[in-house]
Amino acid sequence: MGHRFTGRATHTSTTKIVYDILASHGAEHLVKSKSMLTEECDTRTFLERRGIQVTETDLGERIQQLDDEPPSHIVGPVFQKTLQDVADLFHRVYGSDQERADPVYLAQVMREHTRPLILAAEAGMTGANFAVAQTGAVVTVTNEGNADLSGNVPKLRICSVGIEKMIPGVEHLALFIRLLTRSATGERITQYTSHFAGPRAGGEMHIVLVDNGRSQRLGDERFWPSLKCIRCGACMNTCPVYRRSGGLSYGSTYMGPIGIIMMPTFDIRRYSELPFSSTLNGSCSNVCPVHINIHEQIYEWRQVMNAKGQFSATKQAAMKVADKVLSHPEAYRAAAGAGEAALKVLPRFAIYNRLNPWGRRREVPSPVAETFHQWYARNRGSARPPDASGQRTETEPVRD
Amino acid sequence: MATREDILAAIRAGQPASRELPQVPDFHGTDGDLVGQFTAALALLDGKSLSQPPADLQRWLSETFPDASRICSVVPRSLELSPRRSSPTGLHRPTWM
Repeated sequence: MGHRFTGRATHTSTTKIVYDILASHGAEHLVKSKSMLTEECDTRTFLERRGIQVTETDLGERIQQLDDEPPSHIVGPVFQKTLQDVADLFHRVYGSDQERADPVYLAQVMREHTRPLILAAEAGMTGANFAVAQTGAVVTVTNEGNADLSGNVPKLRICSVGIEKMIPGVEHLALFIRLLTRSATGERITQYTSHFAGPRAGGEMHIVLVDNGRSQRLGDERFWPSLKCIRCGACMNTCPVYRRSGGLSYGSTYMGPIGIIMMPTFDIRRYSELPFSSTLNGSCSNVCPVHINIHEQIYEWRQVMNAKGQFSATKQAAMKVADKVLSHPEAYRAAAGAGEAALKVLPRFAIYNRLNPWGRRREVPSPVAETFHQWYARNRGSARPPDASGQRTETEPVRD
Repeated sequence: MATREDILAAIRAGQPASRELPQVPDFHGTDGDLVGQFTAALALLDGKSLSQPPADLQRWLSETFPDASRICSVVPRSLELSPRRSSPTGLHRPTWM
């Protein structure tokens, strides 16, 4: 049997068609390679609730599955864990040696436990890095070969493809593969670039094309460029906010700068706060290999959230106060000084309580002994601070 | 539940203005010597290539990889010469663990 193409519009209808294919074959064990689209559609949860055992075959993704966490990065789903974290997890789950936080050993432990599941699975599932219209092939890019195992070992193969992954021909694929690998991992090419143009001998291959809001986004002049994303993760790697907070802190399937502009298209209310998780420094747009104007879209989304009334009354009030304070330097300095003074004398419960989310999992920074402005006034007298060009205009000699 | 036709209609309705595809320069043009080009690229990764197999392949393998306990190959003849044969389905139980 050859390909079977199915178009599905929403994440629920996508997972339903995947389930129906599995159920019609009596498949109870599914192995799958890493796919952000299946995360977007929450495929694993949907299938597991219906009695299908799902095994992730990407090492990082499997680690996250065993730890009941979503991926924290679209290329390296387990970036936030140390080797010892993984050794502890494998010891807890598999009973392996907790003292051996050695990547070769840990990879072998995973291979020992996962390979039998791959061999026994009745069905395999992959996403697609690209789908080539000219050849009808689905192309996956991995360094572990797990997409090949998931796609080739079981006789039944299901591939879910976001409609934006379609490219015209192989000449374009060559360009996109180069863009993807160099921006994702700094490689000229990954270990495995596999073209699946048909099922294995005696097998079946189903391709599910997923819309899930993409065609609607395509018609939006402001936000359609996010469909150009090739999921390389370069915007995350350079983002100062992502680098400090990690991917899980965004609370969304797609994280980092690209997640900020994609997630509100799925659920504007749920992700109304996301566009504010950015400093608008523009580094993401600078490194994006497909030239998505990410930071401009983040700013656009903020305006959309405001226009659609997605701000809570508390946030609106806070923004009004901030507007007044931040637009009057004297008021800002007085408020900062009062805050610094208060931090020094307030009892701990006044700072670390429910009203201050920052204090729930971290310490508030210690008050500084002297602000830059105080230092400047003390050391530079009446000299003016540097202007925008970096030139300092002095009204009297500088004292050092 | 939307069908493929619904999706295609939505795409056609929302299609951005068509633009000419940019010309992509050929940064690494081939001069026809593909083997030479491959060998040079492999050398960048500290790899070595042999365009002609040595007369005594078994000896060459043993001397080049003295510590190898398992060699995988897609060339049937070299499998016969490898120190130990292994079946891919047996990879889930590595003997050295």
